[in-house]
Amino acid sequence: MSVAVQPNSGLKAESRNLSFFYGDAQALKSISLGLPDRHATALIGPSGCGKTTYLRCLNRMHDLYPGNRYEGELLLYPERINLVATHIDPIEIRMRIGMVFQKPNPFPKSIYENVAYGLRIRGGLKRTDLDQAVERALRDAALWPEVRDRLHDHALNLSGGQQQRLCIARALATRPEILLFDEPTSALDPTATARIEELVNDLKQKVTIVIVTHNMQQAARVSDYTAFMYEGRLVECDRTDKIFTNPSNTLTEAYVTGRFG
Amino acid sequence: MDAETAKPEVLKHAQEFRVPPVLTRKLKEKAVEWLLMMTALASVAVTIGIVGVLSYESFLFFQQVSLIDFLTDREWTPLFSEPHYGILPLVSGTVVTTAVALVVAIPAGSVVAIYLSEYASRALREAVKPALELLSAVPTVVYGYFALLFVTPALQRIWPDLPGFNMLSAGFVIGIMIVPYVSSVSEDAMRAVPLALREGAYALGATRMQTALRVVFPSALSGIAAAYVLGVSRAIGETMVVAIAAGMQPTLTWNPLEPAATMTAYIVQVSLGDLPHGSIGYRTIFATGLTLLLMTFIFNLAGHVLRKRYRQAY
Amino acid sequence: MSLENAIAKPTSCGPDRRRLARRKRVDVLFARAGFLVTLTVLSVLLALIGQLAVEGAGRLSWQFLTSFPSRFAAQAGILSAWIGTLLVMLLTALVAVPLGLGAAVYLEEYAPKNRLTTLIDINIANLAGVPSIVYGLMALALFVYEFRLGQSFLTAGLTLALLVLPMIIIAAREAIRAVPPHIREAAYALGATKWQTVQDHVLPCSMGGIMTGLILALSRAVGETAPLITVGALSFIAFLPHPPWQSDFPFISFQWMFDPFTVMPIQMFNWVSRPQEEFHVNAAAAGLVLLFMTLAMNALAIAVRARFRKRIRW
Repeated sequence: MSVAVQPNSGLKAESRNLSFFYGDAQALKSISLGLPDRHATALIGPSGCGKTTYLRCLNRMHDLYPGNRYEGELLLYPERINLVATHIDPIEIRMRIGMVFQKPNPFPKSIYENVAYGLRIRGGLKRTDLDQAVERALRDAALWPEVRDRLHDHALNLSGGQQQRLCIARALATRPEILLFDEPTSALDPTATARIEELVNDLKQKVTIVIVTHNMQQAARVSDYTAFMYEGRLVECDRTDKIFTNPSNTLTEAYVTGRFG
Repeated sequence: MDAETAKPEVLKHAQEFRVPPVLTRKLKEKAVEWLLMMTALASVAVTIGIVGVLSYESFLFFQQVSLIDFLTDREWTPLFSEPHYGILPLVSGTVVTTAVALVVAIPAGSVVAIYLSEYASRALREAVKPALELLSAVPTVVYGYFALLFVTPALQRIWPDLPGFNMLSAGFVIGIMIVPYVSSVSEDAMRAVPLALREGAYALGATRMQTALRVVFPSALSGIAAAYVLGVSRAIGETMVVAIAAGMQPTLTWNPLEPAATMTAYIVQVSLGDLPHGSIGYRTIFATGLTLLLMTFIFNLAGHVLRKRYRQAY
Repeated sequence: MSLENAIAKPTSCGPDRRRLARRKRVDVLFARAGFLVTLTVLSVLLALIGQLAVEGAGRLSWQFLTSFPSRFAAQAGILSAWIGTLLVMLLTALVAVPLGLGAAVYLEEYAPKNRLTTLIDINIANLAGVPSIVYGLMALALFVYEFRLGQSFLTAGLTLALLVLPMIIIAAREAIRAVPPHIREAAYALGATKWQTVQDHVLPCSMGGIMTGLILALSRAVGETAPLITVGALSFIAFLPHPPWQSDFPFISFQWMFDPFTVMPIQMFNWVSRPQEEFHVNAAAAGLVLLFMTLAMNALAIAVRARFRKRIRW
């Protein structure tokens, strides 16, 4: 049932018949989806369709909770590592694939310490290198001008939008190859949302991005490819403009025209 | 975006940072996990230690004293030349002081709980609760002092024949001591009763007292029962108040106006003296301790089961 | 029936009005009774503190705080007792904190949800309800005799550490559980290991609750008497233990850990058990000091809790 059009550019990651089980319940049914390198792919679909579940497979977040099981393959290029193979250490994966969550979740520490944390746990960086890396990450996240004078202020003093950009900076500091966004603007006001979307558009030239969103207009604005999921299956994946103007599948069409969901 | 980041650089593999090698990281994590597991198992070791020690020494004790005698003899005089090893006098002491304590703690604790949860204003509650916490923070030896040198003389004004050591004062003070405990567990149980139930009663025109007694109290009954049962367990295990104020003469009596020894006071009495390690007299404290442990265990178990029931009810 | 009569108007009806008035009176009576009972319970607390103050405040003096016990009540003091309490508390903390924290971290962050973990859970809940004197019995057989630690500071510290261990574990677990999952997820998503997440995020965020629980547990240990009597605290110690330092390498001495010991509540118990009035005065004074120590620690715990609540926000 899934119609996945392989994109022209090379893939960064690809799932092949990926299934996921919460205990006995099957949440993902044999998803085969390619994620093109240094482009943004959006995952859309109604509540409960499995888009966040799929996202969290990419960085093995499901491993934090007992009773979950993967089947199939989730390949990372260029080495063709199967991310969901049991012998692959999730910590290694999370050092290469970062995540930004739905509700901004900065650590209750200073701004500097938030961004530096990912680098600290890898160890071995001198203070000057750390400073440079923190500044670069904050610049990449379009937050540097606002915080350059108060790097040691408590992170929770920032506004919601600023906190989310801080979380993006934190994820960027470790130079991930893929950056996962789980509905990053659903808790933010329109102005903050617009800034984050602008940021994603800039970042996708440098990092492969996968963004889950329940807001179709957002998907249309920021992504190059869009995958529509329904009840744990991949229904259709294609270039974003095609999905929203002339989808191949009637279910997709029903969803993007707002007839359900 | 300024000039530095304008060109789309390919982000290199994160290995550019010196990530510690996988094996050392995994070993370190495993080592930490094992170390922490050992500390968690320490608590199991404590239980094994307690049960083991009490069982072992009691086993040696019962090789010399028959269980029947232990349970039915009406005298407890292990240090006499003609020793008797009946646990009943000690049990009677424990039961009477506990009963007196409950006569005080259950009504008082319940009334305080109902008052605080259904009647009192927030300001009053904020003032009373710390005071109750204070009541439970006072060391038991201070309560013992209070029982002997304040409560007993006060009671002696009512009953001039009251002996200086008696179970009434001790029981009364123990009761006061566990009121905060009974009331806080009961209050928790009552607060867990949904507002909707209360509002239903008020909407029918019930007064606060009727709502409290006929709706809230019965709904919270298993939690309140848990409070009572756990209070019993606390009273049974209390040592210093009885050691100071009830005397240390094991007597089989059910009259609270007399002195007596509880199981706990007996253990204290022997510990204060000098009994050779391994003698039968030494072993009596372990047999007594085992009886004590069994009694409190039964009540603790009951209280735990009741508490779980009320927590799941909503 | 016309519309006006169809709606009952109870206030115009004689017997209904009387019944309502009576229900309201009973309600007010109940409220008053509740208030009175609460007041009575609290007044016992006041009587207790009052009695101690009236009897003992006059006895408090520098001499009292710096003298050893003596046969002569007027010359006796609590020097060995309060130093003993401090040293025992030190040992208790040194043993209980790592064990308690380690167990709490393991049970909350590492333990799989299997039967062993449930067993450990139940076990800890059980241990919390075991009477304190039973811990003394175990310590007597194991630490004093079996492990040959003797009736020493080390034994006392170990005994109390095991006694307060369940309290610490329960409090620490609650504090750790209160740390919201999104902080952990953020750390893991960055590639942190479990121990890094615990060390860098979970523990710092839960430190307020953990410290509060620790201080409260230790304040409870300060007042414990029964298990220490069983383990063999002496109540006439007219000397201080060996100092913890020595003139040759390694400059720290552990000799004091094996010295005989006494603590504040035991000194008070000893004095209250004497028939002479003067010793009762000493007991009251010792009780005031003991009460002060306990209350100071409780106040510290509350202050710590308030301060951390302001600092950590999520």
